[in-house]
Amino acid sequence: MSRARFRLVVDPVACDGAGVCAELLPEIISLDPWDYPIVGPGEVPPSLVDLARRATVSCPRLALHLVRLEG
Amino acid sequence: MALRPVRDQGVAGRPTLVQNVESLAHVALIARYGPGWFRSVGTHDSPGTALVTVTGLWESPRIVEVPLGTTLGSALGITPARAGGIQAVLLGGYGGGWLPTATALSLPFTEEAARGLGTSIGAGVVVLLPTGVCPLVEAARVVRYLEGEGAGQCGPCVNGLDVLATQFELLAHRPHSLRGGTSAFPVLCGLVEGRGACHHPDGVARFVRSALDVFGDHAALHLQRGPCQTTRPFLPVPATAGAVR
Repeated sequence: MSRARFRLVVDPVACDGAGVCAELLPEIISLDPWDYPIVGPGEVPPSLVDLARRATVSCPRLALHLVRLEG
Repeated sequence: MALRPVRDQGVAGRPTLVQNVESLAHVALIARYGPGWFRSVGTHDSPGTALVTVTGLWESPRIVEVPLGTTLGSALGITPARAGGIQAVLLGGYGGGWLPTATALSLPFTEEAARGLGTSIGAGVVVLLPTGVCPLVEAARVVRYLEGEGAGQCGPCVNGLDVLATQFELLAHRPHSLRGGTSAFPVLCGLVEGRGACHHPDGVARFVRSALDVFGDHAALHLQRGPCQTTRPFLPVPATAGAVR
């Protein structure tokens, strides 16, 4: 069985631009001019999955999701 | 929690089917006359006809039934002389895109052909913009209207569309105060595209990008010589509470 692969997804309705995710995970997430997150393309590198998970549970709106990719 | 599609949860929380009246009319005619009859007009991939709302050809908008695959020019009976009075064509309504007149009138009217040019037939709204009106003033009114029509749910859309509308108003009315010319528009479009729960911001970005494509020369004129003299508003835009102009 191969290692699970993940993507980070923002729920744009729930997100209110607190910016915590970009503080915790600058490797993948940057902020737009209004402090809303821009998630880098592609899947989360395996070395960053634990940090990505921490970012999702630290979001005050729980608007960041780590989604497991199929296959 | 993400919004659920109405097919899963709609009226009274139940799975809900949304139907288009035009589609139901087609179904009724197919049931009565058969699929062969329906396919006797249109193309293989786009059989039948489409109802198109045409603005700019007559005193008031009219609905025209267009056989799919025929060109808009021939379906609407637009002669070359008449085409000379058309500055550009908006295909697919305000979430669609602008096309140069010659391109639009010679396009086989199908969804595939429209998508090949980066726009869409969408709701079947076609606007023929006459010469003599400032296309940037017209587009600016539409972008501000669309900005006000947002659901206000997603940050990038709420913030981005307002800036986009303001920048477009500057291009239309006070081009000299627009720092960097039109270079900010592709960046702003990129900041709203794909970042909403719905495709409203994507449609506004498509409208803006195509307007700058088709009216690029006119935008350059504004930046060099200043805005056009104000003309009577042409594109129909419902009044909004916060309308600026």
